[in-house]
Amino acid sequence: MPKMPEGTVMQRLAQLLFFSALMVFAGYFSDSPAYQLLESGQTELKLVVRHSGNIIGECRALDTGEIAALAPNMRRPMVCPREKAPMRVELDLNNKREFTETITPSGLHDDGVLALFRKFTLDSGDLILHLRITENPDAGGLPRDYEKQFQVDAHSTLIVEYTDSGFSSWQPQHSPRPRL
Amino acid sequence: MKVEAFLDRFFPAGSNPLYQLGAVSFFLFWIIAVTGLYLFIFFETSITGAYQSVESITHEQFYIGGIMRSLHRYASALLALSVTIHLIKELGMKRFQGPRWFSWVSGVPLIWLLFASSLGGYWLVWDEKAQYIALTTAALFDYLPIVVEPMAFGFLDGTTVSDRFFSLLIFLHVGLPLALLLGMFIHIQRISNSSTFPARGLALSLLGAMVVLSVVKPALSLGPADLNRPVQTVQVDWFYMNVFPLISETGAGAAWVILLGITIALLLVPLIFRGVPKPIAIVDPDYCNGCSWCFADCPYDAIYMKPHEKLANHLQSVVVADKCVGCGICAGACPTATPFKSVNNAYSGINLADENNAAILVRTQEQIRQHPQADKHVLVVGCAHGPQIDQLASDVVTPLTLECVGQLPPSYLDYLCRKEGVDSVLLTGCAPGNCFHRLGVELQEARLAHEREPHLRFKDVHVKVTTLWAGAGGETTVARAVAQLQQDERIADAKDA
Ligand code: HEM
Repeated sequence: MPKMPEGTVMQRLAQLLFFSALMVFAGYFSDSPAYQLLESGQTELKLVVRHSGNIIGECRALDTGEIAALAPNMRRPMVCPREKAPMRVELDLNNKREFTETITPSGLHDDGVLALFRKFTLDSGDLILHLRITENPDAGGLPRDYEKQFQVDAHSTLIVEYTDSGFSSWQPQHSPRPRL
Repeated sequence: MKVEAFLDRFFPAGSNPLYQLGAVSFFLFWIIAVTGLYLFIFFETSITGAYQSVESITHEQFYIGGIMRSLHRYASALLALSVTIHLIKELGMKRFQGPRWFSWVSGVPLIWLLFASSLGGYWLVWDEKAQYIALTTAALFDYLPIVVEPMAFGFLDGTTVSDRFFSLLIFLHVGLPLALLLGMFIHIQRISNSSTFPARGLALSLLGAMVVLSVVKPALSLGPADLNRPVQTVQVDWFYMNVFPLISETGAGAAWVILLGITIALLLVPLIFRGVPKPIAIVDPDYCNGCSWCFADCPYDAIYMKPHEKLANHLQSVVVADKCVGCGICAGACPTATPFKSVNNAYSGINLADENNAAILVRTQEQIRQHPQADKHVLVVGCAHGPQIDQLASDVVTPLTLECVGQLPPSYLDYLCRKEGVDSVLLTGCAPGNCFHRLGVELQEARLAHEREPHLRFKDVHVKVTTLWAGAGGETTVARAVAQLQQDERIADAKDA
């Protein structure tokens, strides 16, 4: 391929073209095309579970042999299990099953907290929400239910939460801040 | 390769950006560092202050702050681009084989650090894009089974984010780029004379072009973040946020598969495409005179000097086998390779293990002598990575292919022209700035031009040597040049007659 003579106008023009194309590329793709997360009329539901969990099993007294087998500084009369129960989470929206999951406690010994976060996209308008939490479902735990009706605005957030103190839900208000 | 050759046409020698992507990446990094420092002075680390302060940098001091911000953004975008092309190019050139695995493998974490640094920057603006990035990053990490309390809990609504969070962000957005810089220095540890600054013309053009872009299309914020409601539409920086829409569409699992998949695949490249190990350089203490020229020329930092085993008060070269790539540039730098000395048949102090310098000379001599009309001979010296030259062999053309043109001791040209009747020499190889062994072309040019030891000695030989760095695939160009040289010879002969 022949090389353009150096320093000529043609060469400079070609370089100008190259850098312009590069800048158009960088300028364009650094913010376009945009990505649409929600269509107009859609809204968002956040489902949150944060619960310290319930321990399965009872404390048990150790017999003398067992105590003697422990290291001297670890000797104690009772052992208590640390393992906590799993929890089933079921969510119905407008009487339709939207989500089911059994969550397990965090931690290597299943002794940590139970936590869940899920985001759902829904259409705005009337909403019947039914959240059912069952602790230790495999061992016949009884479900706890939370049922509530909402009027959800488009482009808003609804949060429903289950914690140690029970169920709650809220719709935070959009707080416009002035732009300069 | 085609693109490179195309750009060669209109960039002055040595300023083709595709041949200095590593250096361009360093340059862009420094622009980001300087502009970032400026922005940092005016940035406020609080929930409301963050957004407001960036807005005021952008609009109230558009003439400087606005440009600084835009340069910061666009240099980052171009950095992602240059690193990506750098990676593709090094991959295409297989510059990850043998001891060169180090540069390759140490490059991979740089990608992660680069992405983390840049995304952290967007986060600081605390506009809707930052909100989207925060929530999506949370989704990405919350997917990992090690997570105890989901990160998303930190962004449930407007009450959950605190000013302290911004102090953490600033800390990360300074710390991660510093880690990146450290990684960049580690990345170039195993090579010597690494080019970390692009040709001046290229650097200035790039900076100028970015300033123009910053004026024409200043970097702006979206509306302020508001965790009390979802983000509806977000402008995406496709250089850095490219996996985010995927996370939003299909969940973090697919993104992890892709991200870890690419990372692992990249890390495995040197293992999978190992290639045939090349013979490395070996020092012969009987001939090494301790001049250190090979030490100075080695592109891979694979040679060091120690006290000589046999000569008092002399140094001796040592080759580090783990670092030696087998380019032979050291053999070309060895002054003891000269065939003019009477005592030792051109044996030299450092050679490639498979064929020593003396053997190369003998092989070439024999080829030339096979043809009685050797006085019209063209010697073509090429390398294993540039244009193929073996097919040029004829009664009057002797091709000599080396691992790298830098492997040729210039004294061989002096000798072959003066003693074996070679009439002209054509040196060819990789395109300038694109030498497979990094420095071979540059070093050989300097030796021929008397700018570096060992140099070409004789003026009458100097005029017989032409260089044509045609690059891989440049066979036709080389063939044409050889034909031209032969024609020139004939014209000269005719004149003499
Ligand atoms: C911030 C990112 C990066 C920067 C600033 C950077 C910079 C550089 C520089 C300055 C060189 C030396 C060029 C020379 O003088 O010959 C180089 C070489 C190299 N880089 Fe990178 N690099 C980056 C990322 C990467 C990545 C992601 C990879 C691949 C995974 C990579 C692979 C290589 C290889 C294989 C070489 C050649 C080493 C040799 O010639 O033996 N780099 N890089």
